Amino acid sequence: MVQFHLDSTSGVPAYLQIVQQVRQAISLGVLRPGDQLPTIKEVVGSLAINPNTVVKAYRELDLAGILDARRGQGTFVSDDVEGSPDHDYAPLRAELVKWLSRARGAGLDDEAIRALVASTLRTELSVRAVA
Amino acid sequence: MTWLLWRQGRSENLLVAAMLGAVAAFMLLTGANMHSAFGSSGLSQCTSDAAKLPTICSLQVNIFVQRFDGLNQLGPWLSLVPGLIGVLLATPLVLELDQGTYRLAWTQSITPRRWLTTRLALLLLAVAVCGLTVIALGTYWRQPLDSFSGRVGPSAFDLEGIVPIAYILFAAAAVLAIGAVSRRTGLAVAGGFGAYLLVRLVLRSARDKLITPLHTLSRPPSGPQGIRHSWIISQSYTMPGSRGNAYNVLRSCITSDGSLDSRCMSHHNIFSSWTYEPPSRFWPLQSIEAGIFLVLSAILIAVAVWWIRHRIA
Amino acid sequence: MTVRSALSCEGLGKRYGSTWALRDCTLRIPAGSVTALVGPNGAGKTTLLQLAVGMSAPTAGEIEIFGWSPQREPQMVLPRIGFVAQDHPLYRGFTLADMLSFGRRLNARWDEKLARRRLDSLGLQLSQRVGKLSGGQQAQVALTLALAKRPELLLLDEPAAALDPLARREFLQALMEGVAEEGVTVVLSSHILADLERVCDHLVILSRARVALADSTEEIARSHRLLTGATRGVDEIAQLHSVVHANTTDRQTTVLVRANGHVYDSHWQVSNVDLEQIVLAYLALDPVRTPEQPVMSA
Repeated sequence: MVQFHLDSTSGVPAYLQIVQQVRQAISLGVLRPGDQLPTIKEVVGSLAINPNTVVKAYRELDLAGILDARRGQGTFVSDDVEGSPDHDYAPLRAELVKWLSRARGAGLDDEAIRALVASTLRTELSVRAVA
Repeated sequence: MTWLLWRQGRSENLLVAAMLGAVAAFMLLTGANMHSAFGSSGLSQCTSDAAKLPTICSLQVNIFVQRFDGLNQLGPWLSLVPGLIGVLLATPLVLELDQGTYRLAWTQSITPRRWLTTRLALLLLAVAVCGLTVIALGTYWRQPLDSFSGRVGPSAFDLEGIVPIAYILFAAAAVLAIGAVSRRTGLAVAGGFGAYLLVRLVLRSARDKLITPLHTLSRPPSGPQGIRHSWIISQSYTMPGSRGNAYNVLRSCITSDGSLDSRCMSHHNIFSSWTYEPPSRFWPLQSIEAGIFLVLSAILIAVAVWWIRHRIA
Repeated sequence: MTVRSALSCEGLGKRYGSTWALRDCTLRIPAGSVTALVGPNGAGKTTLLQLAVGMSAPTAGEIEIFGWSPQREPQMVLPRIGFVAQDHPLYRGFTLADMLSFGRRLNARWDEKLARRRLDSLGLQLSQRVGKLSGGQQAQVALTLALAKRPELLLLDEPAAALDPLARREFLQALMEGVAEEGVTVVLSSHILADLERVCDHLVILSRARVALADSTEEIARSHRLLTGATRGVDEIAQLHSVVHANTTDRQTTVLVRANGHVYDSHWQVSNVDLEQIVLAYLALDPVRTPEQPVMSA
C-alpha cells in the first residue's frame, strides 16, 4: 500500500504533493493499474491533514483519467493508465537541461538556480487554477 | 442525571452514609441501653413536672443521670455531625466547579440551568433526608433523659425538632457559596465548616436572647412549675428587699450533712431566683433558630447560584 | 444557494467587568469546514467558544449555531455540538466505562459502538481509571466523548496545547479521521500555528478581542503577498493594496499586503507567503491599525 508523506517546508500545496506522489508511484511501478489507493480516512489518519485536501487530489487525478473513483468501493488506479510516462516527459526534460545551461551561463550557481526555481514554483503553482 | 450525581459524588455520599451509620449505631445501642435501664428501674414514675417529686425519685434520677452522664458530654461532639454532613453533601458540586468538569457536564444535552436546578434539588432532598434521620435518632436517644430534663436544654435541643435540618443546610450552603466564588474545594470545605462552627457558636450563646427568658422566684428547695423540664439558664439565691448578700446568710443554713435547711432559708427570706426557658418555648425557639439558619442558607445559595450563572463559564 | 453556516455571529461581544473579552465579532463559518481559531492568549478564542456552546451569554450582538441561539434554545444546540474544553476536563475518579455511561445517559444521540471502537483502537481498556491516563490519552478520551455524540459541529479549545508533539500529532490524526468519517464541521482554537495549516481549510485570526482576519486558507494564501524591496516608504503601495505589516531595516523593506488584484509595482519583488507568516504578521498589528476585513464567505 502506498504511503504518502508531506513536506510542509517545500511551499508546494499539500494536495499537489499527493497528486505528484501518486503519479510518481505509478511511474515507479509501486502502483499498478487496478490497485486500490488508501481511503481518504486512511490518508488523513496517517498524515493528519484536512480530508478535503485528499478529496481534491483524488478528484484531480480522477479528472485526469489517472484514478478511477468507484462509488462505495474506493479509489483505484485507472486500468488504462500508462506504466512509464517518463517517455512523454523527455521533451520537457530536454528543454529543462537547455535552460539549466543558460542559467549557468548567466552566472547563477547551484544555490541561486535552486532559489530561482523554488520561488518561481511557489508563485506559479499556487496561483494556477485547478484544471 | 441522577446517575451522574450519584456516581460523581459517590465517595462523599458513602462518607455521609458511613457517618450516619456510625451515629445511628452509637445512638441505637446506647439508646436501647438507656431505654431498658429506664424501664427496669421504674423511673417512669419520676417524669412528671410536679414541683415536688417523691424522694425515691431524686435518688434514682441522680443514679440514672450519673450512669449516662458520659453520653451527655458527647453533646458538643455530636454538634459537629450536621456540619460534616452538610459539607460532604455540598462538596461534589464544588468539585465540579474546581476541576472544571462542569464544562463537560454543561455541553452534553442537558442545559446548564437544568444541571444546576437538578443538583440543588437533589442536594436539598439529601439534606432533608439526613436531617430527618438525625432528628429521628436523636429523639429516640434522648427520650429517657428528656423525660427528666426536657428538650429545651442544649443537649437535647440541637438533636430534636427541626434545627438539625437547618444546621445541615447551612453548612452545605456555606460550602456552596465559598466554592462557587473561589472554585477551590479545599477553601470551600474549610471555610464552610468554619462558618458553620462560628454561626452555631454565636447562635448557641444568643439562644437565650431569642425569646426573653422567664424570671421567677421560688421558695427553695422547690422550683417553679415545669422547671424540671425547662432549660435552666441560671439559678441563684437572693434575698429580695434586702441589700445583704444571700450567700453569706446561706452559710448559716448549711446542715451537718452538707445540704441546705429549707426552714432556715425561709426564715432568712432567701429565695431561689430562676432564669429559664420553659418547655412551651421549645417550638418557638426551634422555629426562630431554624428560621435564622434558613434565611442565611437562602442568601448563601442565592449567591452561589448567581455566581455560577453569571460569572462562571 | 449559500452553504448553511455552522456558526454565525453578528457584532458579538462579551464583557467581563470593564474589559471586553470579545468585541464586534462578525463571522460565518461554513458547515463542513475545518476552521482554525488562532490568536495569542487572551485574544478571545475561549470566550468565543464559550458563547458558541451557551456557557456564557453575550453582552452585545448575536450568535447562532445552525440557526439557533445557544442561550435561548440550548436544547436545540447542545445535542448538535461536541465540545472539548481547555485542559479536556474529565471525571478523574471515573473509569472509562463510567465515562461512556456518562455520555450514554446524558445524551439522547449517542454512538456507543463508535466510542468503544475508538477507545479500543487507542489501546485503552474500559476498566482503566481516567486519572491514571497520560495527558495525550485523556485528550483522546475527551475527543472520543465529543465524537460519540455524533455532533454536527465540533468545538475544541486548545485541545493539543499541553500535549507533546507525538501526542498532538496523534490527536490531530484522530480528529481528521473523525472529520473524514462523519463530515462534521470543526472549529479548533490554538495558539500553536505549526499543525494548523495542513488541517484547516478556514482561518479566523483573533487579536486583542477582535477579528483581524476570517477567510478560507486558500483565499488567504491566494490574496496575500510578501513584497521585498530596497528600503522605501509604503505609502505608495498602501494606496492600492491593504498593508498588513511592514518591516524596514536600513537595507530593505518587507511588506505583507492583502492584494487588490495583481501587484504591478516594479520596485517590489513579489512572492507568496505561507499561512504561519501571515498569521504572525496579523498578530503583530496594533489594534488601531487593524485593516477592514470582509466577512468570511459562506
